[in-house]
Amino acid sequence: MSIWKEIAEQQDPNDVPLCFACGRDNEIGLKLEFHRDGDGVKAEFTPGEQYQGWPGVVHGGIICTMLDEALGYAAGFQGLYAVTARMDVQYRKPAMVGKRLFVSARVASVSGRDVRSEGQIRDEDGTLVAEAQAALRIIKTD
Amino acid sequence: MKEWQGPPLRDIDLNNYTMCFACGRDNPFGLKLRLERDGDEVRAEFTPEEHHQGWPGVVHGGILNTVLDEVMAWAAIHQGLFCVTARMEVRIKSTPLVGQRYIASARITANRKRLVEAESEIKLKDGTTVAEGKATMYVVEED
Repeated sequence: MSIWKEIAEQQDPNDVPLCFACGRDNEIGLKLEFHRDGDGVKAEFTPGEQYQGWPGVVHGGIICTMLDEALGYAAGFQGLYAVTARMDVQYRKPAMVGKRLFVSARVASVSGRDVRSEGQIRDEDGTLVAEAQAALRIIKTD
Repeated sequence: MKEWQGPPLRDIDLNNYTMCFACGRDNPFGLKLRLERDGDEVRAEFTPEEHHQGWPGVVHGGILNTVLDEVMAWAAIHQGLFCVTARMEVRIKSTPLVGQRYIASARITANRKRLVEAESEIKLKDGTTVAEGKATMYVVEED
């Protein structure tokens, strides 16, 4: 059985405690908590220095992780549980350690098993830090 | 990325900077990647654990992105180019399972003035490609 079939059949998609991005029990994870925001989702996160790349600057991979997770949650909040197939990220401004970041995402289109979603991260001033677009494949629907 | 607002990169003693999330050997949260030069390429081997997953048993896309971002950054550093990523495109080619051994590699494909292009992959030991990344990086400083 493919792991996706197994996940689709056996996994409660709203209970993923060990996810690196959103799992409440993942000790090294970001523990992001997403909330509905209009037709999309949003979360806040203040990266500590354990998430830096260059000293004092949040690692690009952590920025990607926040965006990837938000893009997935945007689909999940519509009952479309999905996995990222392709993602394009544009970094607009370095994110500094210890500064609050706001990530948001929404589904742009759904076609068969393919979802397109788009997201962004802003800082406390509202300045765009990074944005992303992704193509996701649905593994389960509500 | 129009303008770098972070710290001066050339002054960082890379041999003694150990807190990077991806490559810092003293970052208790980090991946502790060991990057090795292989000709014009940079390579790193890693085995993602349970706390690197997204869906149960499957490595989180953000972790794959982190590894790709890091090997591409080091491909530039080895050419004396201290960069930050401006744009990155990642394609996931097959399901990355936790607990398997992966090999990431990257190389610079173009270097024009202040922008560097790089490409990278993550493969299983049998050669199966798991993820591919392409990045445009902005050169902050040059050696």
